[in-house]
Order: sequence, then structure tokens, then C-alpha cells
Amino acid sequence: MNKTSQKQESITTRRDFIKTLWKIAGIAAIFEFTYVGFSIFNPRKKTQISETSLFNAGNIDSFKNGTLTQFRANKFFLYRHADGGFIAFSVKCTHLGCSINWVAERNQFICPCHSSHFDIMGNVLSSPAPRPLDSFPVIISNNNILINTAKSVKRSKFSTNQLTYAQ
Amino acid sequence: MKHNFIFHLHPKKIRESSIRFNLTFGLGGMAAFLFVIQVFSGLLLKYHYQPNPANAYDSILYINNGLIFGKLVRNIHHWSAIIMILIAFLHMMRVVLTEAFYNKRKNSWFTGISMLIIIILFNFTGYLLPWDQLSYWAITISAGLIEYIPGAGTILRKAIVGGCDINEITLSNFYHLHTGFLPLILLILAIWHFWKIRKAGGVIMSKTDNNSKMIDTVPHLIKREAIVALALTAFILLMSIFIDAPLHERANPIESPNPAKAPWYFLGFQEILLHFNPFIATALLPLLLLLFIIYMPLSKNDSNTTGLWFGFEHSKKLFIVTMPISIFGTILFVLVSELFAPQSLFPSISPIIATGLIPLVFISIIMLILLKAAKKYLAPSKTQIIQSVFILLSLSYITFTAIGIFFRGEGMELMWP
Ligand code: HEM
Ligand code: FES
Repeated sequence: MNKTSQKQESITTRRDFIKTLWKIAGIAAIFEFTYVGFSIFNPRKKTQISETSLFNAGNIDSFKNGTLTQFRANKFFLYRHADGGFIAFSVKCTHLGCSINWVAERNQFICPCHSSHFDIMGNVLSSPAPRPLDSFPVIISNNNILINTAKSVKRSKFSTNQLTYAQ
Repeated sequence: MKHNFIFHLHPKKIRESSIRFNLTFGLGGMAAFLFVIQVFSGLLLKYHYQPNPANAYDSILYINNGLIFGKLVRNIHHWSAIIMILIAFLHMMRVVLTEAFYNKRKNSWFTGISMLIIIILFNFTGYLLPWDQLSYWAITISAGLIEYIPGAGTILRKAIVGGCDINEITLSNFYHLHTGFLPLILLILAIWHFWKIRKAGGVIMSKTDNNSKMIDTVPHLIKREAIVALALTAFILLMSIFIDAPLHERANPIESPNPAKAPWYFLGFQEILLHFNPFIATALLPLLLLLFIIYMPLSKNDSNTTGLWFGFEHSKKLFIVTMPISIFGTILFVLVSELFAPQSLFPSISPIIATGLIPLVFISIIMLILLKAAKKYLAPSKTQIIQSVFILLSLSYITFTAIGIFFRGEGMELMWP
């Protein structure tokens, strides 16, 4: 009597154990498929072609100190600081990603979507934008200005160490 | 043969009172029928639509101007999509108000919520396809909204958009979700939804209705379903003949329109984000909402008015006070937040407190006072409280959405429509 009930118990636990295994396998499968699904969505992640894409903006001498040059088709503004350093701002508003405009008469970037204002260093003058304009890395090689438009960098506040200088 | 198919969906006999129109208003059936309309009008559009940025806009132009009945089919697909969100939403309200989400209907509640999310995803992915200024920037902005979700935002945005910008990968992703994956998921969920309702003994009915006499499904129920479907078809046809679906200029990734708005059903969310700190608006509030939705069917149904609209003696009163409180409370909140702009009033306080904690605490205190008052004067049961909280949240979101659609003009300034 005692023996049989013991046997039955061990059968049920074994069965339970296998059931649990099935459940774990099922959950693992769901996660795998979800991961595979998401990876397929973002095919560029694997090939990494987008990590650098250098755009040649031209010779450094063609940019005067304290001026802003628009490269809207390439999604950036190039600013040469009064001290000669360069910084490239992304045209993407940091609020929700609209393309900002440079309004020369007010000396400000203004976003048409929800009217965030930025000064010429990209700092926020009026919200809803939560942070200054993102920048793209600038490389100066052979007096040519190369902008890596594939890699936008988040900044907190403008400071001169964000500038790139010619050697 | 014909009957065999019908009896896959319906039992042979049903209670007479379950087909009373003012019990369900046929809203679930309408949603199901709209899905059928969407599948067929969508399949027709699919013949001519080309899912790549170079040709998408031109193929829509061709559908509109070159194809016989092309514009009509596009209009039908456009308006039915919008009506589908509205109908699914009303259906959900009916389920809440007749207390039809408890016990055996728990599963239908969860599949229903999932279907509502899928319907919104349908609309969202479909919105990009015309590749005009409206769709391009609406999706850009929505992707920007997603990015605010703390922790997961950037990854989620990248996965949905398929990289950095809205481009050919995004369009391809959205197209195949819209025309392949989502319909399949919705179909599976709908079958599950119907099956569980049948297992629960059909739609919810009050105690007295549960004893009404049994009648044949064919012709009684079938006749009514046909009438609802035909009326809906007529309405959508008329609307599509007289009102054209919008189509703006070709998408221009360099020039943003002013103002740029998310698709209309996300405008409530965009509006909330204007008043709350991103952490609150994109993480805390949606999480609380989700928990409430999960809690609803798991809580105990302590009322004996299941299956009745406003069955509880005070519930009509309770709902009638809840509605204006929700609507005017939301409007007042927007005005106060807009006029006094807490962030510029206290620039030294961290934003999570100024546009997070302060409004939240303020709203919670008002809610608690109202709850106390309601408990004192109207003595609602737990079920009625859940119902009125649901009404409160829904109407508040609708009000936020209406403000976003009609009262936000150039530069997202408040304005008169
Ligand atoms: C594509 C969307 C949907 C379709 C096609 C659909 C279809 C249906 C149909 C045909 C019924 C039968 C009763 C009636 O006509 O009212 C029903 C009932 C029900 N639906 Fe939906 N529905 C959808 C979305 C939703 C949503 C968003 C919810 C709420 C979260 C929901 C929850 C329920 C529940 C709980 C029932 C059972 C109600 C009862 O037994 O009285 N459904 N649905
Ligand atoms: S996207 Fe620029 S202000 Fe909203």
C-alpha cells in the first residue's frame, strides 16, 4: 500500500518535472523568436555599414571664424567658432526629431514643429527640446573637414572642448 | 453547408434577450466586419502600391488618379481604419459598462485589449505608407516619442525604424507588418476571442435575461448581423464617396511642416508629453494604466447588476458626475500647466519634480477627495468604482486627444480651431 502510493507520487513528480521542462522550453522559444524577429527588423546592426560615413565639407580656409554654413541636404550645420574651432550640429531637433531651420535675423535655430529655439552653439533657448542639438564628430585631415554623419553625439552644454581645431 | 459554416461561429440556439440591440449595440460584430472590409480593400490597394521611397508616393497618386475606383477603395480603407479604432474603443466601453470582463470573460478581456493594441499598430504602420509630408513627419515624431521611454527607448526606436532615420528600411518593415504579420495575429486573436465568448455562454446577460427563451440563430441572429453589416457598409461607402483621404506633398526629409503632429490617436500622448516629464509620460503613466487594465478582470465582482447598463441604483449618477469632472479637469489641467509652466516658474527645481511629482501629487489629492465624496454620497461597489475610474481615464485621454487635434496650431501653440 505504502509502496504503491510512493510510486505514484514519484510518477506525478516526474511528470510534473517534464511538464515544467516543456514550459521552460516554450518560454525560451518565445524569447528566441522575439529576438530573431527584432534582429530582422534592424538589418544594419549586423553589417555595421552605418558606423562611419565621412562627408567632405571642403577646405578649412573656405570657412570664416564665427560663421555658420548650412549643409541641410546632408543633415548638419557646420559652425566655425570665433576661436577657429569647428563643430557640426545635427539638423534633428532634440525634442522629437524634426528638421530645424536657421533663422539668420534672430541668430537662432528654430524648430518648425513645436518651436524649440536654440542659440548658435546649439544650446536650448526655449523648450520643449530637452537638451542641446546633437553634434557629429569632425575630423580635419589635410586641411579638409570631414564630418562623420553616421554618428550623432548627445551633448549636455556647449563647451570649447567639443570643438575640433586644425593642427 | 452554409449553415455548417455559421455554426462554427455561433451556437445553434441562443437566448432571445442576447440579441437585443441595446445590450451590445452590435459593436463587437461591427469591429469584426470592419476587419473584413479592411482585408479586402487592403488587398485591392496592395496590387498597385509599391513599398519603396522612390515609388510609394507615385503609386498612391496612380491609385488616386489613374485607377478606376482606386480613389474610392483608398478612401474606404482610410475611413474604415479610423472607424475601426472608434468602434473597438466603444466596444470596450460597452464591455466595461455591462461588467462583462469578469470571471469566464477574463480571457476575452485580455485578447480584446491585445486586439485594440494591434488595431492601433495597424493604423500606425499604415500611416507611413503614402510617403507624403504628413506621414513621413508623423512617423518621425512618433519615433521621437518612443525614444523618451527610459532605458529601452533608443533600442526600441532603432528596432522599429530599422536604423537611424525613417528610410527605405522603415518603409519595408512597416509595409510587411501592415500587410502580413499584423493581419495574421489579429485573425488568430479574433478567433480566440470568439471561441472564449462562446465557451462563456455567449454575451453577458442579466439574471432575468438569462432565463429568456431560446431561439434559433438562423435566422434571428444572422438577420441582425446582416442588417448591422449592411448599414455600416452604406455609411462607409457614403463617407468614402464624399470625403477624400488626405494626401499631402511628397515626403521631404529635409523640410518639416509646421506644426508637425503625430497620427491623431497618438496626439493625446503627444499632448501629455508637453505637460509631464518624459519619464512620467512614457513610462510611469502607461505602466500604471497597464496594471489597472490587468487588475480589472482579476478583481472581485461584488455587484449583482452584471449584464445591465447602469444597473446599480446610483451608477448613472456616479457616471454623470465622473464625465464632466474628467473632461473639464483635463482642460483645466492643460490651461494651468500652459499658463503657469511649472518648469519656467521654478527653473531651479529638477524637471522630474516640477513637471512630474508636483502635478502627480496634485492630481492624486484631488482624485482621493473625489473618491471619498463619491463613497460618502453614492455608496458605489468596487465594480462601480472600477467602471468610473475607467470612464475617467478614457474621457481624459479623449480630451487630451481633442486638444491635440483641434487646439494646437503653428508651433504647437494653443489656439482656437
Ligand atoms: C478587432 C477588434 C475586436 C473585435 C473584432 C471584437 C469582436 C467581438 C465580438 C463579435 C463580440 C461579441 C459581442 C458583441 O458583439 O459585443 C465581442 C465580445 C467581447 N469583446 Fe471584443 N472585439 C474586439 C475588440 C475588443 C476590445 C478592444 C476589448 C476590450 C478590451 C474586447 C473585449 C470583449 C469582451 C470582454 C467580450 C465579451 C463580452 C460579453 O460577453 O458580453 N474586444 N468582441
Ligand atoms: S520636434 Fe522640434 S520642437 Fe518638437
